[in-house]
Amino acid sequence: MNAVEIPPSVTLEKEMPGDFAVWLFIMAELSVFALLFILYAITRARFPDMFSEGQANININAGLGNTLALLTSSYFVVAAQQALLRNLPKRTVLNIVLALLSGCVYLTIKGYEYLHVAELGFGLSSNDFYFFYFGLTAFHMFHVILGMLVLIVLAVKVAKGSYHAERMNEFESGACYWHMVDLLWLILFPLIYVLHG
Amino acid sequence: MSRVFKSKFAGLKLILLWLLLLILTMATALMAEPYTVTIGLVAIVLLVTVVKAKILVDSFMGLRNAPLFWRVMLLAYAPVLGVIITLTYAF
Repeated sequence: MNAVEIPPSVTLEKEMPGDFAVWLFIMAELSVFALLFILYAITRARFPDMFSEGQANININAGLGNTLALLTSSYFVVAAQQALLRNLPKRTVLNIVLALLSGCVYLTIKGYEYLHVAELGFGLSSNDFYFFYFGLTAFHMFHVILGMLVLIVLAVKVAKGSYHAERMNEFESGACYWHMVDLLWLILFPLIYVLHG
Repeated sequence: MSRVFKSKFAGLKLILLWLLLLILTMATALMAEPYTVTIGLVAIVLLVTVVKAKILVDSFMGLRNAPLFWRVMLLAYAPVLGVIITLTYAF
């Protein structure tokens, strides 16, 4: 039986990058984080002094460095997609490696940041601010680590020739997940690091 | 997504958007320096965040040509949270 050919004029104009399932997953993740952001904001409004004192111990430069690292990694992921569209696998892999290095910068800064706060004698159970600070940022960090693992898988599959300009749906799914991790941090950065008390 | 990245100057546009994101982020960090947060400052900082989120969703995720539902859901994320967070500073 011959497949029905759809004329170009009838095909959908709208393009959705990646798999539908990934978008459901992304929406679920965004919803969970939205709830946590709102809980943080409401708790901060109830205890402004506690949050202001806690935020004074958090280094804004660390938050700034984290943001710049994640934005840079997102840039390299888009650059990798552009290279894949032009069927340039080596350039694609190189850009993914650079995105991973940016992710490593984020993890290194986050490590130093946690060490600094721990040296000051504060931990998850110190008070509500530190509960949210460690809880939210660590939960986000786990997403960064998962995203980096996804990027490693994408790089390996690109190197093996599994993806090319005509077959990059999976690649787009992984890329969109990585950008979602970046989107979440764009909210976290002002919420915890910039807007004091 | 492909259509977004296929234009002739896609590479240059991407670099400019990335630089804009970095500049907006550094500007946001500078706003925190005085440590006196007013509701106006909260609104400005979150407005900048909304602009950054729009760039990320439209140009990095490539949702500019996505179906309206998904684009609106993603684009509304930062503004809705921004309004809620700003309101918590008002009361």
